Amino acid sequence: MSFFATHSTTQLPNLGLRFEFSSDTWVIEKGFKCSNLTGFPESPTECGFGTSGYSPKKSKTYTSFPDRNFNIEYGDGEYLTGTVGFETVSVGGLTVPKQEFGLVNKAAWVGDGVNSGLLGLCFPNLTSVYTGTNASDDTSANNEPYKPFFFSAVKDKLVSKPCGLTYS
Amino acid sequence: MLLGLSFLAPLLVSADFSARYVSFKDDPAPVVSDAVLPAADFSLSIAGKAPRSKARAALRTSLRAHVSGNSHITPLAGGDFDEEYLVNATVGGQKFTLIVDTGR
Repeated sequence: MSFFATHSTTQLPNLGLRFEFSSDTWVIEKGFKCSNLTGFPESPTECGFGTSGYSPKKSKTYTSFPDRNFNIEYGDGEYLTGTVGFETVSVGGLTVPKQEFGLVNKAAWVGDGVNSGLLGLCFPNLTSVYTGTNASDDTSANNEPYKPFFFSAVKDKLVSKPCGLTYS
Repeated sequence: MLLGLSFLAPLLVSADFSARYVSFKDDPAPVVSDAVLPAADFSLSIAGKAPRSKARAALRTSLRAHVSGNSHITPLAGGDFDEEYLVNATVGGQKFTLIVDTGR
């Protein structure tokens, strides 16, 4: 049995203010370029990530996924592009090897100064990897869905009773 | 201190514009409203802050204590006025705090 447990300290979720649903796990890559939501170049600090980013060079478990690009746009105007790879991802003692993920090297992001990426737990058909390397060519026609983190864990039989729970 | 109910307006507007749903490439352009929320007709005072529940704190402690075997339990932290939830993760052994996006 797997649990993702949370609590809320305010009533904001009960006001219907949570609209998030996506499937990609991505992290900001060290050396990324930042812009504001209109595309104007900014200092990396303006994007408000919590770290300088992930470095594939420092990992022994990273492999790249050639001829693919990561390209996601969120409803609030934030958008991210980058490359695609496979990596060992661990959350709450659950370790998934060779998880497909996005390495973001261009970001238009309104960060909170804490997060450095996102763990997407929704369904495969919402993932944002595309064949080819030119993000401007991306359409639904070259979208290539993949298994998000928890789907990979189930596929690899890392969880005996696939069940996710959040409580508030 | 008196605050108008309009103090909620920035939150509502913020929530509207911080909605992190995925927008697909060939979706039609989103309609963005430039409507201005009117001033509040009523106001009320903020009497105090609600204390954090000791029961919930105990539950979280209990959850952490049960991390073993096939149970993968991790506490999440609310961030950005609880508009998002955060979790500690490692990617290739490198530590990051990530937004958890469950699909609601």
